[in-house]
Amino acid sequence: METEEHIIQHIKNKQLELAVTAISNAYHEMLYWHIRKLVKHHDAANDALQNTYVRIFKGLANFKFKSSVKTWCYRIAYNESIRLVGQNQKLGYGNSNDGSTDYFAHLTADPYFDLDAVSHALHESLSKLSEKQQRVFQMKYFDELTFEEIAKITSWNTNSIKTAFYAAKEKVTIHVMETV
Amino acid sequence: MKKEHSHHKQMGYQIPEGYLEHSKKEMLDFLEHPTKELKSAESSWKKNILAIAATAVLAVGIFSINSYSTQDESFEQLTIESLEIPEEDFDQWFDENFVLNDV
Repeated sequence: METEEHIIQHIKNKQLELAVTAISNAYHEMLYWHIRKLVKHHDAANDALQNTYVRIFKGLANFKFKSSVKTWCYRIAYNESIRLVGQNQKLGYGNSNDGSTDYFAHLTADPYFDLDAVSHALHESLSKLSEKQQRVFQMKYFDELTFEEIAKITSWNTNSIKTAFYAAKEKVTIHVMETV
Repeated sequence: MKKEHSHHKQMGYQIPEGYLEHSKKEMLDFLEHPTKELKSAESSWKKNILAIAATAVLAVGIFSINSYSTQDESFEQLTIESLEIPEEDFDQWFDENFVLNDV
């Protein structure tokens, strides 16, 4: 397993292909699931992941070490996902603000989605959250990112992220306990 | 095991069998090869644009020369004809051949 130190060493040595391979070994799966939760569909996640790799590869030479490589990669993946979601919404087949019906219609249109009682309750509670609360909750609860990491990834204020997370957590907990 | 490796089942998200291993290799291969393909695609795109631009300039040039020479010839012919037109019929002839032709 490649570590952050290995990746940084490759970048400093200008061994960019080795650095991308090391990033892939360390973060490929995490990046995929991070993207998947934002874009929902597997095919869309695959496209966004590919774009993420291209941007990582192109950006490595100018990496300034202001954050960890992991946070930087997450930020790129996040931006790619949001860009894709925005494009799909413009084209009229994204999930949007029309409540849980659209949310579920969008999810179940993906052949790689299996809806059972637990996932139904979880998604139903997520569908009731605002877009910001959904993203923060997923990054904090599922990806186990710190509030500071989420702030760097999203460019949102740390305090507003904390507020969004605790409000989301409360809503999700209450809904899941009532439903399951 | 971290939650991030098991939560997707909880969320109902599935992936094709062997996807993560396969896609990792595919993404890295994609980074090596498309650069060349993109470069060649870009250069052939530039060549095509240049070819289209050159053809367009050539076509406009030929059209201009032709239309100029046609106009020139017809004007010359009409001027010669005008010499044979009697003075009293000239106004009507002028209207028919110059004024109305321009409409």
